[in-house]
Formats: sequence, C-alpha cells, structure tokens
Amino acid sequence: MAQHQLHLQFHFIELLDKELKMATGRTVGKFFKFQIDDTGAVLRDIPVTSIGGVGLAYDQVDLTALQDAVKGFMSGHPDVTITISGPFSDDAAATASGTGAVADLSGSYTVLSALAGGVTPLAFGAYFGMQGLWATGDPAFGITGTAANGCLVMSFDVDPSTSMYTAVLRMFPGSAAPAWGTAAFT
Amino acid sequence: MATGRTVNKWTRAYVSGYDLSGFMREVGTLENSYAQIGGANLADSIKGYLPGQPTNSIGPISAMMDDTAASLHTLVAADTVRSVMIPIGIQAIPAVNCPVYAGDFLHIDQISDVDEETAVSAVFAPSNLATTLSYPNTWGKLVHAKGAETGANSAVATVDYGAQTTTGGYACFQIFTSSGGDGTCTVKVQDASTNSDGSFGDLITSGEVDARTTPVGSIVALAVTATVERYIRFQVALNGATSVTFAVSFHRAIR
Repeated sequence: MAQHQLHLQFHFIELLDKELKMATGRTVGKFFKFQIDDTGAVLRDIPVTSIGGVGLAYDQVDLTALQDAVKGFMSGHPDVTITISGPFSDDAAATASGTGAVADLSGSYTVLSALAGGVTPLAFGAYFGMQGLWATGDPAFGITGTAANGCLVMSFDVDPSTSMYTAVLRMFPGSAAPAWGTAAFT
Repeated sequence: MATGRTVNKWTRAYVSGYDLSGFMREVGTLENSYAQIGGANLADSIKGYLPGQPTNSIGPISAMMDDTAASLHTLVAADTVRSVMIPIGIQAIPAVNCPVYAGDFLHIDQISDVDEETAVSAVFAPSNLATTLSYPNTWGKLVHAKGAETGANSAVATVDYGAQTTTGGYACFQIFTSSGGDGTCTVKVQDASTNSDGSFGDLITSGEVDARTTPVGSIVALAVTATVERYIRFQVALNGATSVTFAVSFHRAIR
C-alpha cells in the first residue's frame, strides 16, 4: 500500500479512537439521560426536561457549645429527594439505552403512573454525558435495584396546561445509599 | 391512535355528564401524590420512606363567565360531589386507550372575579366517597371516546392490559345525552380473557339512566379483590332509547 494511504488509514484510526474515548471537563444538559425501573423491574429511559436533587444531602447537626469560638457541625444521615419533570407521553415502553447510545424514550405516563405509590425498590440512574452521549466512564448517580435497595416514586402529577409531569423519588427504608459512579446501573 | 407527547388543546373535561371543554381554560394540576412516611434508623445508610395516604386532586378549574346552558356557570351549585373525567388526547381529540384521570371530587367553591375578563374559578377537593377512598391511583384508560352509539357493541377490545389482575378497579361514566323513546339506557364496561365478541361479560354498569334532559356522571367501583380480565371494551344496552352519547374510562388497580 502506498505510504500516503497508510498515513490516511492511521490518521482515520486515530480520529476514531478519539471519538470513542469520553471527553472530560464541562458539559451541557442535552447529553443527560434518566432511567428508572418499571413495574416489571426493567429499566426504561424517561423523557426529562429538568431534574433536581441529584446527590446526597446530609443533615447538618449543630453541636455548637456556647463557649465555642465558631459554630461547629457534624453530618447526620444523608437524604435523597429527586424531582423530575418532563413531557407527558404515552409512548410504548422501550428497552433502556446502554453506553454510548441515544436514549430510547419510554412514555412518562406509561412508566411512572403505575409506579406512584408502589413499595418495591426501583433501580434508577441519572447519567451525565460529558460533551457527548453518556458512555461508561462518564459520571452517573443512582443505584442498582435489589429486593432491599432502590427508590420509590412518591408522586406523579400532571399539568395539562403545559402537558408536563412532575414526579418525586425517595429512597426505600433501609436501602443502601445511591452513589456516584461511572458505570451503568442495572 | 398516536402515542407520544401532546399539548393541552387535546385535553377534555367532563363533569357530572357535562362536557365543559368548550368553557374551560385550565383544569389545574392532576395530582396523585403520596405522603412520605419515614426517616432513618440509626444504622441506616440513608433516610428511607414509604408511601402513606395519597392525595388525588384536580383544579382549580378556570373558565370565562358564560351563562350558556351546560357551562361551568350552570354547575354553580358548590358543596356537591361530582364525577370528573379528564381524558388527555395524544396529538388528537381523546380516543380509546388515551390516558384518563377520573374520580369523584367535592366541588367545594366557585368564585367569579371581574376584571377586563370575567373569570370563574372552581375548586375541587378530594372526595370522601367510598368509591374514591378504595383506590389510590386515579389514572386509567379511555374505553369509549365521547360519541353516540345506536346499538350493541360487537367489536373486539382495543384496551389490552396484557394480563388478568385481581385487584379490582373502577369505571367513570359520563353520559351526555340519550334520545328516542323513554331515553333509558345502560352503559357498561365488559372484560374478557379472550379477545372475541362472544367472550365478553359485564364487569361494571352505569345502571339504567335517562339522560334526555339531564346528563349523568358517575363513578362505579369494583371490590378491591375483584378479578379483571385482560381485555376491556364498552357495551351499551338501549333499553328505551335509540341513541346514547357517552364517554367511559376504566381505571384498573394494579396493587
């Protein structure tokens, strides 16, 4: 093969390799995706316009004594309250997307309306794609569902005037804490 | 029927057998939220919660002051429990299988404010009727979109849950009008394990009604342990009437 053709091949492979490697740094919301178990414990991509409360919030226990020079605190139990909002939709349930894939959205009504009020722990994942579709190695917050670990859906409210839903997730009693990681939750 | 996202112009509002969609601007938030009961035991990794009693509510409903017959203003009698059905059409007017929010709600007040517009706001509180108290989830599916029927239904079902359930459910009947003869008719929800005309049996009925002059709206509930087969369809029995215009939804309980 001619020398210049070899150079082109190597350059193409180099470019392809750079595309597959995740970026680091800042990102934007369009690369975010959210997944949660449905009533059959199958993960589904949910359409989300906004999400709040991704992370652990610890109780701040004030242990200040009058004689202290400055107020002092210790952290108590952590808590999670995740509020998601997005378009109301009744699309059929679809298989959740994996690493490097575009989210295959299931209907928000299709999945969440049946989950509200349930007492079976659910897996969930909030995936932050870094300057591209989320891929293994990018930040993700969530928990793998088991019989004892997961979240519950505490509400599913719909505003017909905006055709948007709002749902609130809390952790199941005795569950392990969700955590930040870089791999998909199952 | 399309599936996917939608906009509010395809939402409809039926209250006590009246179609108020042409008079209302907003139906408010359709709430299905549960009290969050819990906290952390000492050795817990994180605080945990179980769902307590739910709150299901709609509204406030807002409309223009309009004294046309069958408008929101004509339902001005507050402190009345009303059956409310909010079908959400998906990119079109509501059709069979569309999501529906329905229940009995206490029409607790109706206030008019005069500005450049004359607005009416109606507040609905969660009802304490037994039908409503038995089922915490108020979401279901439209089994018959608003329209007239002049004979029995022999079509197969298009509402398919995929499997039988044994946790009951309820139906919301909105019978807008009937005509012909003495106007009496019965609207029903039927179920079947096999999706063929001859397999269906009556699951819930509205009871015989005469809607020639006054529309009829009702919520009829099954026992919480009732078996509901996979396939659901509507049925009508035109007792004395020759035509009945109605919408019906079914809300299957899954737990």
